Amino acid sequence: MAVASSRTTQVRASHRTHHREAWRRIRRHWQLYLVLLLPLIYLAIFRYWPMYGVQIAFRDFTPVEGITGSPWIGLVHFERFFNSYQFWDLLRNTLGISVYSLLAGFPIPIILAIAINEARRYYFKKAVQMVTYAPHFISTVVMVGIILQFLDPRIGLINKAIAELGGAPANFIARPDLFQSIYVWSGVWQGMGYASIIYIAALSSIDPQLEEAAIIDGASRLQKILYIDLPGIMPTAIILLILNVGQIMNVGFEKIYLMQNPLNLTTSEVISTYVYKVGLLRAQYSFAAAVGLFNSVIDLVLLVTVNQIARKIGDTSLW
Amino acid sequence: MKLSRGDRVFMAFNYAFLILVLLIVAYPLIYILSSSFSSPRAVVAGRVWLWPVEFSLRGYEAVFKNAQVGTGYWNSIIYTVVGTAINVVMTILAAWPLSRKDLYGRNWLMGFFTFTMLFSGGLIATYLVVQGLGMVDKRAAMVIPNALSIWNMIVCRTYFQTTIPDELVEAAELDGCSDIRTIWHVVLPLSTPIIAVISLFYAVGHWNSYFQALIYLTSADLYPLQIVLRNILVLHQFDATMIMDVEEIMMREGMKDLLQYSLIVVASAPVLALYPFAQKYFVRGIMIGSLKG
Amino acid sequence: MSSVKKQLTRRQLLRGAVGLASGAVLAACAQPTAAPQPAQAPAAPAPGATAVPTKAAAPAAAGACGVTAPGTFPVAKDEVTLSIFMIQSPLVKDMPTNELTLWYEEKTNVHIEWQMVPQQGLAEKRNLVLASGQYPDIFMGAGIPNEDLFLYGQQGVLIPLNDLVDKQLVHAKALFAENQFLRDAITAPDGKIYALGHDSQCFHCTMGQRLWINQKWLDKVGMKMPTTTDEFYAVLQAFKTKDPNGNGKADEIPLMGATDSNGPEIIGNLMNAFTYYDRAHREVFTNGKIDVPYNKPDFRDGIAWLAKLYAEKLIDPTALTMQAADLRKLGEKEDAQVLGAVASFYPGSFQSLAGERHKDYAIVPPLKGPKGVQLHAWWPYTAVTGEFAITKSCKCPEVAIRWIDWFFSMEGGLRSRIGREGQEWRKAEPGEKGLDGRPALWIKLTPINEQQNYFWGQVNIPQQFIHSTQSACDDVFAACGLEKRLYDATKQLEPFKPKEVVPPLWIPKEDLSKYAQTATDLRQYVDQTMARFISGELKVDAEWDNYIKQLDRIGLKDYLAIMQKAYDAKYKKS
Repeated sequence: MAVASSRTTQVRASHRTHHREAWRRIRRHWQLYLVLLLPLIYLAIFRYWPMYGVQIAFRDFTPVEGITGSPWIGLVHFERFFNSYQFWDLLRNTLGISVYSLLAGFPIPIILAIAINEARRYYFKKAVQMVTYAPHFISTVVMVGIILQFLDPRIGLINKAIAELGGAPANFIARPDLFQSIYVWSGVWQGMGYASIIYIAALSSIDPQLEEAAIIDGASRLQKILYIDLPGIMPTAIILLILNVGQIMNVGFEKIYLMQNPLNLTTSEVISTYVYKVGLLRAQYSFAAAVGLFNSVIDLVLLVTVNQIARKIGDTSLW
Repeated sequence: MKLSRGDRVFMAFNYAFLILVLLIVAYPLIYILSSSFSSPRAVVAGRVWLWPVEFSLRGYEAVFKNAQVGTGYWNSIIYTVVGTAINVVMTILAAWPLSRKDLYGRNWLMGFFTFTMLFSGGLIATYLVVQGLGMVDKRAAMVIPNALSIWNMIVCRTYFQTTIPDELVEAAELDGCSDIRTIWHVVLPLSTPIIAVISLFYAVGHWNSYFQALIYLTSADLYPLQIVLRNILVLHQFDATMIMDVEEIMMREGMKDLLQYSLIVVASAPVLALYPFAQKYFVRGIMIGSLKG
Repeated sequence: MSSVKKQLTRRQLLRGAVGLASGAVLAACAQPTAAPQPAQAPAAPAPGATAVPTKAAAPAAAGACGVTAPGTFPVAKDEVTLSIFMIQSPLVKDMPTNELTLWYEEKTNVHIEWQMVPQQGLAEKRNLVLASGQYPDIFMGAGIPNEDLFLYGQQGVLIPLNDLVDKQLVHAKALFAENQFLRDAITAPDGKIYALGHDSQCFHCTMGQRLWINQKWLDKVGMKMPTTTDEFYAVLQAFKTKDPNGNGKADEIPLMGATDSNGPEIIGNLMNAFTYYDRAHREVFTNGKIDVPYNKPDFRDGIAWLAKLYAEKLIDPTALTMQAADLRKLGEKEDAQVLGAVASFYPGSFQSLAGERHKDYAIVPPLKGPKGVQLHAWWPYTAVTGEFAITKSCKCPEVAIRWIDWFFSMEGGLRSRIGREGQEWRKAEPGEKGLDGRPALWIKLTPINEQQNYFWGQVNIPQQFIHSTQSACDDVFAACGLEKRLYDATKQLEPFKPKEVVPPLWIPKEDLSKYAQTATDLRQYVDQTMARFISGELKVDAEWDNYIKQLDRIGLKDYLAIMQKAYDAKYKKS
């Protein structure tokens, strides 16, 4: 590069270089931008254009007046939500369930995928995949019905087993301390097969030559898993982790609602069920929108944070 | 290749683990299947444990007797096939450029896409946009507003980043391939696993979708299967005060409970059958031959 | 099937066409006098058909909305098209081709464009339609809540129906005149009626919280039907210890209930021996002011009593977590009958009506508490409102209101709910009795079972005449006698109803958000805390004061103030 005498010239020069570099890259890959055009148009029309609807959270919305016609009330809905006597409980329960789900539900599909990958018998592998994939399709109503029946003090399998062993049956669903565990582990049961699919696919695209080389070098299967397979799917795992953190406030409503009863409400009432109940009395679009916006902001903060951490630690991150 | 002792132990544990998983998962599935083939009374009284009790096809009868089930299946197939095709194309179109490290503005673009996963304009605004485009109560409403899932796109992008070696892309470029040709000749052939996976995810999403149809469709002949099935469920709400004789009570009591199970089987059988086809593509050794030469 | 967009265009075209046609008539007739004087129609020697619409000042539609005399058919003089947004009954195959639809279209000379909405998405769809600004002419059976009716009425989206009802209707008008509850229920605080409704006339529904007891067991342990809380306590103890089902195991459940709906909920059923409490409608009057019972000492006594029962396992531990749908599993247990007393809407909730066990259960008349309180929850406002509303998009409101009138008659109600005379029902013979012992008016012939296409289904059409006049048999344990069984049971509860209850209120828009949130918070907190008191997790004596304080913190006072304001606005005037 040309010798620069003063700092400003240096800076200006580097800016110029930077711009030239940028244009060079853009021109070189102009086709990629073309390719991106269609998805971008889709985003613009179906995701960004409707975003004007976010202002519902700041208005006293009625369908008839429309979004822009409804009166502006600023932060009233937010205040009302924050001042609810349940607010901190809701937040605590929602985050508690989410983090628990993440901790429990994250490693298991990976373990399952690796186990399936290691199995040798073809039909057994296929069978396990098929069977574990099926629970994803069980409707929430039936799923909760099964859970409740399973845990029933009189006719449930668990209590029957306890009775056989001489213990006293317990009403598990009544216990606030158990609610989150029941919710999370039943969720793991239902979702692990479906979630493992992506890892199975990732595993299948690891270069088999690497694996052969490792085995020739004398690595045990366990070592192979630790040093070849896991690193191979680590980028996928990290990205999924980041994405899941970005959804942390979105604890679904239907399953929890069906599992609630007056005795476990202290831990089972989450933001989504609360908003639903308030909305039952009247379609409270504004209130729901305000709470949704609050959730999104928290999600965003956490997402950015985790992404930054991922960047510092490794080289896989969303951006 | 001979397995070492340590490896044999490991394999034993592995199989034990998988068998355990199989049993844990399979039992409730069998329960659902058995319940769907039992009589309504048995289901409601909670008498089904492993095998069907009072074997009956009443649950399935109630479903298939409904004239709209056929249309429902047909519509769902259309939405799933067309929708998934659109989805896969859109996903790849977005994922590939975003996977290229030297794409200028990549981080901003990623942010642009990711932002929409967190923030949305809400049901009403989105509906008004769709309505403004004239798509309400048309099949298009089932496949266009949901043309791209950012989540799936990111998963696809990750796959591209980790599995398609940069050397390969560079080699293609040197050979004179433009970006678009690279996609066609290099990326796609190597991406069968991920295409299979996201196709599966999208297809399942379409097949199970209910809310979308509920909001955008009003004509009954456009309804997908899920809506038809829920209508059947509602139809069988048991209201004792409207029934006149015991026989009828015997017939109708518990139908709704029974139907919950039959509906799951009816609705998910096609998709479950789809899985083995997708499975075929999770085949090892795709990378062999691509690097050589 | 027409899409929303298509049918709008079609409707506009149709109206345009009709407008043109009548315009041509007007012009043709007005020619002899003075052609360029459009508004002076009355002076022109035009035939009477076009006399009505001129006062409506709707330009293109003038002359298109001629209605015939009230109570006569056809309804419209020239064919009119109305668009109707309606909940889809799962019993109906296809509304546009439905036999009743086609027959009625001919009869009334009104063509209908149906916008059918499945039950699940009803509220969303309704709100989306309202937000889109493209309103249908009529909302029928769309489940519009009172607050929305009021709001939309005041915003001008729904037109007031008072005049239309008075001037145009025959059947509905008579109904509203004779049933003051109904007229009250459909009138908004500003005195206008924005939607028609009907009275379900379900007598036993007015006292839906009921307690049933196993009469067979009572006989077995040699005790009489309990009349006081102490006697009830003794009965429960006997059930628990004396093995009335005779199988040698102490597996009897003395008292059971469920928690996810109001009917089977235990507190609501037993609290009325201490103080009045209706779980579904919790507000009461204290000295003429709106108040709640659940922060009063009498309520506390009731909770303490229930906690005692729970501690002694007389109330089953699962009663506080049981889902109503699972009660059946207990009732139908094959090895033994285990249910003693059950809080429930009717025995069919926990026993199969096709079996034998349900016959063992008899209604428990209200118990008298330690202080002599003996009441039962009563809710007479069984009117269903928001059934039929006309929007401002409707160019022919007179036609619309006339169109619905026939369905308020017995003939129309039966035709639309049950079916054709002679096929699905027939007139009753003299001697056949109805529920209340009076002569029945009609008998159902075939079960309503499957999807069909000859009537409109069980929802959204006025339900008059159905319950009270349907014939019933004397054998209350037979299926046909179920209504009678419930009727008789409720008769025993009737003497204990309170003098007055807080009527349904219409909360104005400015209070609605606060009301919705506070109501939810209160309801949740009360249910949760009561359950914890009863289960013993919280001790009543120690925690009651904290509970009261928390109620105030949640906003009980403001909540009551909002309701008082709404009550005064609607009822204090009249």
